[in-house]
Amino acid sequence: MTSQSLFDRRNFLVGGTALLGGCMAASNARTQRDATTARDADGRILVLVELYGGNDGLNTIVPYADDEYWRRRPVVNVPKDGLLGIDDYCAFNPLLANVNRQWHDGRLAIVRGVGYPEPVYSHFKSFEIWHTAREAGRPSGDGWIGRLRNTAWKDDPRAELVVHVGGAVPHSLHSSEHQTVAFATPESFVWAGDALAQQAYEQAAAATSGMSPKSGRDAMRARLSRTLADAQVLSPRVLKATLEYQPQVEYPTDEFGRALRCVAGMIDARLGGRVYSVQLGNFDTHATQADPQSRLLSSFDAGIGAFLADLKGRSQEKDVLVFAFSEFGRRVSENYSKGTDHGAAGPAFFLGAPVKGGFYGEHPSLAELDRDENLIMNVDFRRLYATVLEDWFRADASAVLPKRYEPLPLLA
Amino acid sequence: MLRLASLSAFAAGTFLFVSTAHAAAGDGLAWNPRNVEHLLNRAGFGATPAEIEAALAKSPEAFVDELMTPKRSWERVTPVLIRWEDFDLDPRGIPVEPEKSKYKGMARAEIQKIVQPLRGADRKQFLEYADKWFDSMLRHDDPVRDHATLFWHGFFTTSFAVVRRKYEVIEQHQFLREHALSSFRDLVHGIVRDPAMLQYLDNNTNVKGHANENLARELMELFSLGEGHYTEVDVREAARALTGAWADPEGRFQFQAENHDDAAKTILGRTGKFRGEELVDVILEQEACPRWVARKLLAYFEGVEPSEARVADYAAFLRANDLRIDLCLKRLFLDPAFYRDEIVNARVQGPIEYVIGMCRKLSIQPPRNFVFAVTADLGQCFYDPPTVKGWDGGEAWITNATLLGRGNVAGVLVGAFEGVEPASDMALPMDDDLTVRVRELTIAQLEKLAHVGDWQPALDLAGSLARAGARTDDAAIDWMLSTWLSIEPPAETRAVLAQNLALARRETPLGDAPLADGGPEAEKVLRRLAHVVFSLPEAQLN
Repeated sequence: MTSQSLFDRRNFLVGGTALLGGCMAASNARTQRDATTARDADGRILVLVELYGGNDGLNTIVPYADDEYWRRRPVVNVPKDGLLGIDDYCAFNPLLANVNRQWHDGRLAIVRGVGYPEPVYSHFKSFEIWHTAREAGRPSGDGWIGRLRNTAWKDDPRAELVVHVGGAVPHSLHSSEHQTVAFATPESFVWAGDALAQQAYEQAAAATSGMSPKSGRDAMRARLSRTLADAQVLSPRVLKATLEYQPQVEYPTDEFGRALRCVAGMIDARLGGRVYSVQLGNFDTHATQADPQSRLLSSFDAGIGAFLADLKGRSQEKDVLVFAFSEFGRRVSENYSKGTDHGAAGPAFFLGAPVKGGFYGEHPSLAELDRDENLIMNVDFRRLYATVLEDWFRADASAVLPKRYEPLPLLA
Repeated sequence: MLRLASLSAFAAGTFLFVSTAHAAAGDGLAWNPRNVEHLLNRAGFGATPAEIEAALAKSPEAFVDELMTPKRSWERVTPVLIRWEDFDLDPRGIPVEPEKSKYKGMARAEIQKIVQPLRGADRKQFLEYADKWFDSMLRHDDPVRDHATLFWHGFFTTSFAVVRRKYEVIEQHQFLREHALSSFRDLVHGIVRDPAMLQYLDNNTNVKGHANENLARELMELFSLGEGHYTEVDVREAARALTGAWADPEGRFQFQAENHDDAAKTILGRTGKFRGEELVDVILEQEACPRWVARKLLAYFEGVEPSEARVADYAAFLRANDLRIDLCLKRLFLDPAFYRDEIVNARVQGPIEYVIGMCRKLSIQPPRNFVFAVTADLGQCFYDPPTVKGWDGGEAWITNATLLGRGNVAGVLVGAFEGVEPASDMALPMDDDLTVRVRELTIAQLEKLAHVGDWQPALDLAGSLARAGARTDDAAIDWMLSTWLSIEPPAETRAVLAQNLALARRETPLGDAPLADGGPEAEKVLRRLAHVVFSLPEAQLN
């Protein structure tokens, strides 16, 4: 059966289920969805890169001219040889050749000293704060991207507005009102029943996904039905967009590279995503940091390098903004295990054609630290969110953030 | 959801009689098929009609006692200490350059030639161990203990991605299983001297003058008190108390006096020359500790965040009963509130429960290594939780992809893919047969991942229908839905299945013969329906 006929069959089946009664709403919603897959007039896209585990910013962008760096990092340092020069104070880790190229092309904004007041050193608590953007994180409630959907895009029910490629979905994407698309590999995003089974399965989902009961159990069941109905509509579209994608460049074959290749395919196929989320980790380098961090920075550099090169010259290039962050930096002084413990402030990165390259925010002092011997933050991460919300998506940031935060002028 | 009207009437009578003799426990608890199934779902790994029927003939308390008594004793595994990671770990478990290891001077390829078979053997013993545990769940040998062990594995998390060799991992799991129903005291005391945990949370590098806070922080944040019940100073002081607790290269716990910081520490308001044991005692004295344990147990077994009143109630019970987990769970299982409408069938099952429960309902033995592989793929990898916080559970298990993925696992288990041509290669054609090709690719990938090989389920669904006396199509669908699902699907779903069965009768050689009469066509049709039923949203809930 061809993809096209599969589509026709689905439309036919969905129409057919209406005869069973009680599911006109679902059927209408589905027809609408199929009709609105074309890109919105304002088709700006955010690619959210979560460097989880706490990346050591000081060995990413190395303050080589600072004596404190060498004093506090006698072992866990990046030797001067091979550093990729930025200025007379700091330079890129030698593994960041592609990132360095973006810097020289003026397509990389580095925000220095990003964090939040009263830093916490728990991964989870810190993620809760980053994910929810609240003053004090909460384990439940919607994430900041979820709240963006609930407010700015509230009339657009398409699950594919937000797509996560990877394992567990970051809480930042969580919306109590909208479904999110998430898959680890496109091959796993298909239900493999035979044609007759497929038909029953799709009808069962369509017949129940339009229900909106109030009670806990039935509401849970209805949400699962909607997830299923979305998956059935999206599966063939995602498979086509990713598996048949012809990139302009070779991507690295590690998990991060494959995920970005999928994202590029979905952007190219105009799947309709506004936020694509990928993750890289684990940066939690308490012991023998050099090896794992090198491997991860190499993955980051190769993946991001390929993704941006692939976008180059495509019509969507100017519509794609990459934002990479980590939940915290690491302790300035190394530990006895050739590693570093959980820290506070660190750098965040914006990449792509829409970016006005350069440094934003001062480099935090390595001599004057907070009471826990950590870098003192000078840019609240919620200012980065404000930049994305107001200057990129033209959304009302006050509906998402707990109070007013000044955007950074980092978009061209 | 079982409709055993006559039985339930009988059971209600039994309960009235029994309740006078057991006024204290299970008082006010309606002993009916719904509640028995709920108990078996949450305390164990799903219910079969025969088990529900047998349970209804007993009193709730007698049945809970039976459920908590092992039917078969666990033969302890003695794992082999396979040192495949020696080439790149120093005695403290810290990776070293190969040139500094005992393989100094050898080419990497040569080292790999030595290491790979060792690594393979270690993986093999781990997978065999995992199957031993999954088999215990499948047979319901000691269901409450096994379910509690699954809970503790997500509570005191450790990952083989960090610990690497499996000796310590298997030993930790056997420790958790042995004490899953003991006092929480024994669990925490044991876990701070557990070699796998000491490696996982970096305590081998937590030494006097150079504290590593990882274990101290997680001990308080995740393993005993919860955020907000200690300060950053407490974490630092607790880390000092834990200095010198070491997992040695033989996989044993050692206390190294020379690396221990013997000076006084002030932790949670108490001052003393604490070591790990005293630190745990200080923590166990905190009011926050039984509250944390009660909150986590209730949230897991009930599937909703507990009210503060319920947390306080169960925390007080734990405190009054020496933090005994067995007594706490027994109380919960006999608590009428555990059967309230808000929670029955309202919880998304975890992948392990989903797969084990399906196998139990179908009475099939999955292939070796299958359960480990597919549950890992669905987001619950045994001994590799996503973070030190374990699995979020509940609705977080379900994404568009894992929902479809669960259905694919169901397809293998009910034999729905028998006869599908395996995809000959992974290269995808550029024509428009994408979906069909991907179906073959997905099945081939899944069967490879899950070690399916030539395995086929030993299923005789037509025979089951015949034994149940389900001779009409409606009766067949009723039987499937009521036996396999805990929750009744909406009438629309039932109608869709009936329509599909009617279509199959028109399009296949099955004709008008009752499904219960059997034959290859009937079995094929039944397996297709089974595949759909186990893929439904309702099949995710219990």
